[in-house]
Amino acid sequence: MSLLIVDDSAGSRLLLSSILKAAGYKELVTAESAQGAFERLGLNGPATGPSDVNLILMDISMPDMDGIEACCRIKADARLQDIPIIMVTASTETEDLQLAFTAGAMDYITKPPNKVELLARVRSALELKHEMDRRKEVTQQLQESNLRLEEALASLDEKHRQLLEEQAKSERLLLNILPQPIAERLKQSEGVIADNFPDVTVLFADIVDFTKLSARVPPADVVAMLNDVFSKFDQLAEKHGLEKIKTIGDAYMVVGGLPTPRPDHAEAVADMALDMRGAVAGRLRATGSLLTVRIGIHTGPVIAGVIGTKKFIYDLWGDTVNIASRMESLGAPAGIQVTAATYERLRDRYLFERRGTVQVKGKGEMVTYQLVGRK
Amino acid sequence: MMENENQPDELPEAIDWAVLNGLREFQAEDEPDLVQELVGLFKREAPPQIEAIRAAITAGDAERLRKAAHSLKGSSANLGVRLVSALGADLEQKGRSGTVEGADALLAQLEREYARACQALDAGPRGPA
Repeated sequence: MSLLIVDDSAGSRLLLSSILKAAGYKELVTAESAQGAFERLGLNGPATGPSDVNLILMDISMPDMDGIEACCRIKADARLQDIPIIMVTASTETEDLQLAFTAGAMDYITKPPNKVELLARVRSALELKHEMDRRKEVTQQLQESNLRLEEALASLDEKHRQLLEEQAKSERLLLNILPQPIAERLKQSEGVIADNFPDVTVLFADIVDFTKLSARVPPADVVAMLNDVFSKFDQLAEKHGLEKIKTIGDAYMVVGGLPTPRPDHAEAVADMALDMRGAVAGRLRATGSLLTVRIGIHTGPVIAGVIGTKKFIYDLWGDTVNIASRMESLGAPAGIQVTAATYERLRDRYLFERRGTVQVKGKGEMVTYQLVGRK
Repeated sequence: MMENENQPDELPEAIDWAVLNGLREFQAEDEPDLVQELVGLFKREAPPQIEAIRAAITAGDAERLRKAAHSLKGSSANLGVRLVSALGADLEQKGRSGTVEGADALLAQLEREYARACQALDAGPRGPA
């Protein structure tokens, strides 16, 4: 921390140094020209740290480069511009002082230097410098902590993004298992979901002679075939707006009219059944014989919901489910067997063949129909 | 021109002794005599400054005159060499107004005052008359 005196006159340098030394300023350096001052300050030199010079006393009138020009150069250097410059002049001409202030000088003193004036101006310039240094330090600290804060925020943003991604992933998984309104209700932590649906149509389908087939064909091939067929059924269920419930071995269960009720659930299921039959038509089993499905349909009330605490599944319960299952198991290969309840809904727009009566366990005789196509 | 030329004792004091002696306040211990040193430096620096003034006048360069006179004005004022400083100020003013006209007369006067100041600096303050 030193004071730099720039003056071409050795007498002036000695005089200023002596006054300042007597006042207790021990660190004094001098230069006899602007160029000498630049060298001392490291101006235009390689970028070093902040200068150790705290204040410059600069003679205005010097040969070669004068004090005004030198002041401009110093103020234009980012590392040096904070050093206060006090101009020393034998002139009190307003225009000279104007030039000095325009060049960035902070203050001026006149020759011959008055001790009181010189010391007061030096002290206030040093105080200003000290305050500026302190503020610079505080600003730098603020900038640094700001930077750290921004980094922390960025990392938090990233974590939040990852969390949202994880959430979206589990949401997708959940929706793959449960219908969306049901998933929403479970997320609201409803205990058991068991809703009454007075009027829905349930469909069961299975592969004819699957047991025999499994005995002859490698299990991996059987599973691949099932996956192929059921994936096609899944697409059809989506197309018809039906809710796939589950697969049980070689059986496929789908329902129309829930969880969102719709008046045309019987028609939608009938269309699905016809499309399912069409989808497997022409497909060959692994053994080379044709693949056929057997389908049963019934319309009536069910209870639908999610029960238990693990491996959630949206399932159906009630007589309607059992009867639909019977329609399938008692049906003819490649046939679509429906009950009278379903037939009554569809008779105007679909073609049926009467099958007579079948014996249904726990129900006795039931009149059934074979769905053969649309009218 | 100067009516007092033959009566040197009645010439105004060349040095403001209060200023010069005031500088002793800044004398540091274990250092050479400050006033003596400053006077020595002044005597060394003033002649080239006077030469620079003369050269500027000869060249008719008002700006150079202003600068050279300004420097001499400052260094002489520092030591209380008041008449040299005053003539330096007059010459600076001349340069500032853009002319060297009449400057040679001021320069002659300045050289006389400078010589007188040197004598006074060597002799020390006049005793009471």
